[in-house]
Amino acid sequence: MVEPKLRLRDLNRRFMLRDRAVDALAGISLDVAPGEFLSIVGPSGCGKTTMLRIVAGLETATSGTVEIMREPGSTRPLNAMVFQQESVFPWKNVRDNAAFGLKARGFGKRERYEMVQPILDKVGLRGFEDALPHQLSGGMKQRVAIARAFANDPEIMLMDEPFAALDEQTKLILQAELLRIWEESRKTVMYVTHSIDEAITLSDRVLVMSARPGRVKEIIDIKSAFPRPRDIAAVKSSPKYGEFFGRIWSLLRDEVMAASLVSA
Amino acid sequence: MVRRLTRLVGVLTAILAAIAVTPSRAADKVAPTTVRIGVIGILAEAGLYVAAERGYFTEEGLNVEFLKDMVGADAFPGLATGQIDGVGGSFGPELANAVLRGVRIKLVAGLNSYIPGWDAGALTIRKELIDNGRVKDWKDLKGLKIGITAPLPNMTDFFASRYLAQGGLTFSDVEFVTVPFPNMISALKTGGIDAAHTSEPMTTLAVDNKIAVKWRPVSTYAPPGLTVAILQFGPSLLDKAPDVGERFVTAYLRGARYYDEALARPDGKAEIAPILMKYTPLKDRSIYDRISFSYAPPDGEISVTGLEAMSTYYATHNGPNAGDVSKLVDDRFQKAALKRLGLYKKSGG
Amino acid sequence: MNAKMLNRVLSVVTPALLLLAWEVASRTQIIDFRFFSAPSAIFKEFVVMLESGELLKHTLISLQRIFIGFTIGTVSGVVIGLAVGLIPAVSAALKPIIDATFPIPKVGLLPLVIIIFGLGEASKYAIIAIGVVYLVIINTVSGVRHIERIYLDVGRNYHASRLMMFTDVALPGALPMIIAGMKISMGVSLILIVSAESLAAKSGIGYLIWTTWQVFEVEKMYVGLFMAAVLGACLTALLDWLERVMIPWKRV
Repeated sequence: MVEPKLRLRDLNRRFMLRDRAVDALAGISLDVAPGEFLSIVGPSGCGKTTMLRIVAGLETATSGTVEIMREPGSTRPLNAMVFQQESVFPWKNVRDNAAFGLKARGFGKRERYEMVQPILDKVGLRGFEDALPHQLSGGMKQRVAIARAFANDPEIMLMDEPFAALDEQTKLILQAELLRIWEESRKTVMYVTHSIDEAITLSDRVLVMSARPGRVKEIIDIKSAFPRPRDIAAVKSSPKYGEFFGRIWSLLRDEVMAASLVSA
Repeated sequence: MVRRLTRLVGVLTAILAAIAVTPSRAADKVAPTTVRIGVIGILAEAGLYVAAERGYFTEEGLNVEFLKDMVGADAFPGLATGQIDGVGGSFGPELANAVLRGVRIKLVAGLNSYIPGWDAGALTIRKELIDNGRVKDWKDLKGLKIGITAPLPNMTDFFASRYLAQGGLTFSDVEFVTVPFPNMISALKTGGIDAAHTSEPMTTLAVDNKIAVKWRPVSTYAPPGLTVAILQFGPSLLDKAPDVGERFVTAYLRGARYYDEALARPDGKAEIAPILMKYTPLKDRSIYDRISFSYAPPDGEISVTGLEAMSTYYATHNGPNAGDVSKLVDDRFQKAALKRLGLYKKSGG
Repeated sequence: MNAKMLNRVLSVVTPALLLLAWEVASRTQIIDFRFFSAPSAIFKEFVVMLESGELLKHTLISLQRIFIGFTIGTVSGVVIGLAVGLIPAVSAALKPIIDATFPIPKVGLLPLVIIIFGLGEASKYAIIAIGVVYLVIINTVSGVRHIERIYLDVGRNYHASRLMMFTDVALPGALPMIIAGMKISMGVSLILIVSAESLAAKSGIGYLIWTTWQVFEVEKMYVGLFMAAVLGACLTALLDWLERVMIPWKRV
C-alpha cells in the first residue's frame, strides 16, 4: 500500500461540560490515501466537525496523533478548510478573499493576483473579482471560499458541509463543479456532510461515524463501483446508488436513534 | 478655571431660568425681605461685608444672601426675572450692552472709589525691568507686553489707555496679552507679560514674591475719584420694593462708614481683616497688614465723570455707546439713606 | 406623495416652523427678546460677522483643533483598542486603568490638561484626544471581541501572521463598532472644544460664545451657538459619509 496522505491514530477528544467530562471522539484511527476523496457522515453531535477542526489545527486532540505527509521539498501549506458558515471576509473583494491564504504566505500583491485568477475563472467568478461579498448570492460566496482553499494549494483539503446552507439547485450545480475541479487537481479531501446522497456522489470512500463519542463505525468503498471521472446523474440513476444509500442509512439509523435518545 | 467653566454652563441655565419665571409672574412675588446680591467676593466689596457682619442689614429687617460670582452678564437674566435683586460690579461693556437692550439695571451707590492714599489698584511691573533700569518713566512702557483680562474694550485696557497716555503712548506702542486675573502673577513671573493694572491683594502678593514692583498707584492714572465698584439694582428693588432698596443702601452705607473709620484707627485692621477673610478668598491674615485697602465712599457717591470717561472709551473702541451715563444712575436710594443717616462728616474718633 | 418624500419635506418644514414660532414669540414679547433675541436679528448679525471674516476665523480654528485632536484620539484609540482586544497580556495591563479612568468627566480634566500642555494649541488637541480615545478604545475592544469567530478561524487556518490578523481581520471586522465610537466621540469633541476654548483661548467658537456673553452681545453669542450646531451637523454628516464608504457591507 502507498504511504497515506493523512494518518490519524487513536484520536480522542474530551470536553469538560461544567464538571462533567464529555467524550466527543473516542479512538479514531484512519488513513486517507493521497488524492482520495473521503466523506464523513454521522449523526448530529458525533464529532465529525471536531475531527475536521483537529486536523485543521483549530482544535487540539486530548490524545492521539494527526500526521499529514508532505511531499519531499514541498512548501505547500498542510491544509485549507472550507467552512459551513459564510466565511468570506465581507470587507475584502472576491479577489482579495481568494488570495487571503497566499497573502498570509507572503506572496506579493501582483504575484498572488496572478496565481488566483485561474482558480477564480475555474469556479465561475470571472467578472466578479472586484465585487464585495454582500453583492453576491450565497452560492457565489461559497465559490469564493472554495477558490480561497484551492488557491492556497494545500496538501489536503478539509470541507465542513460547505453546501449545507445552500438551496437544492445551487447545491447540485456546486457539487458538480466541485467534482470537476477536484478531478483536475486530485487533492486529498476530507468532506464532512450529513447528506448520504452527497457522500455517495462525491466520494471515493464514506466513513460512517457512531453517535457520541464518535468512533469509526464503518468505511464503505464507493470508488470501485463508481470510477472516475464521474457523472453525477449517472451515479444517481445507477441501482448501486440505491444499495449504497440503503446500506449507509441502515448503519446511520441506529446511531441517529441512539443520538436522539441521548440528547432527549 | 473650573469656576469659569461652570459659569459657562451657567449661561444657558440662566437663560433657561428666565423662561421658567416670566416677568409677569415675577411681579406677583412678595416684596423681598430676603435680598439676594451677586458679588465677586473681592476686597472692593468690603462695605457690604462689614454691614452684614455688623448686623446692619438685620437691623433693617433684611436677610441678605451674597451669591458668589453671580455678576456681569451671568447676573442679567436673574436680575430681569427678580431672582437676584442686585449686584456689585464694575462698569463694563456688558452693562452698557444690557442697558441698551432694555435690561433694567441702575447704578445706586458706589462701593469702591480710587482716591489718593487708598490705592487698591496699581500699575505693576515685572521686577526685572525695574532692576535693570529698562523702565524708569512712563514713556519707557513702550514695547512692553501688557496684561489685560478680557478682549478689548474692557476695564483693564481702559486703564492701559490711561497709563500709556501718561508717557504719550498709544496701543500701537505695546503688545496686549489676555490673561485672566488669577493667572496674572504667574504670567508676570514667566515674562508672559511685563506690566498690568492689578488690584489688591494681587499687587501685594506679586511684590511679596519679588516678582513685580508696585510701580505707580492707580490714582496717578485713573480719572480722579473713579468709582470702580458699584452697587446695582434690578427691577425687583427699583420698581417693586424700593423701600427694601432704601433700607439696603442705608445699611450698606453704615457698613461703609464703619469700615472706613475702623481702618483709620490703629487697631482697625485687626477688626476688619477677619471679616474680609470670611467673605473673600484671601485667608492669610498677615497679608492684611501689607495691602492697600479699598476706599468705600461713605455717602455712596458715584463719580459720573469717571463713568463718562469709561463710556467714551468703550464707544470709541468698537464697544457699546451707552449715551448719557448719568441716566444709568438712580440716586433715590442713596438720597433716602442719606436723609436718615445725614451726610458723612469725618468724625474725629 | 410617498412616505420618503413626506419625511424629507417634514425635515425641512419642522425647523422652519420652529424658527418662525421663535420669531413670532420674540416679536410679540411672549419670550424675552433681551435674552432670547429673534432669528431675524441673529441672522443679521450672522451676515455681519460672516462678511467681516470673524466668524470664519473662529470656525476654522475650532475645526482645525477638532480635526487634529480627533485624529490623534482615533488613531491611538484604534491601536490601543486592537491590542487590548487581541492580546490578553495588554488587556490585563491596561483594561483596569482604562475602566477606572473612563468615567472621569473629561471636562473636569481641563485645568490639569492646561497645566500639562500649556495655554497653547497643544492643550486643545490633548483634551479632544483624551475625550475621543476612550470611546474609540472601548468600541474597538468590543468590536474586536465581537468579531464572528469564523473570521478568526479562517485567519488561523490560513496561518495569518499577528500583524495580518490585526490589519486584515480584526481592524476591518471591528470597523463598524469603531466608526460608531467615532460618531459618539465627535459630539464629545464639540463639547470639549467649546469648553476648552472658553477657558483658555483667544479664538474659536467656544471663545466666541464665551466672550460675547461676557460683554452681553446676545446676538453674537447666538451666532456662536448656531455655528457650533452647524459644525456638529457637518461633522456628523462627514462621519456618515465615511461610514458608507468604509463599511459598505453594513448597510444601515
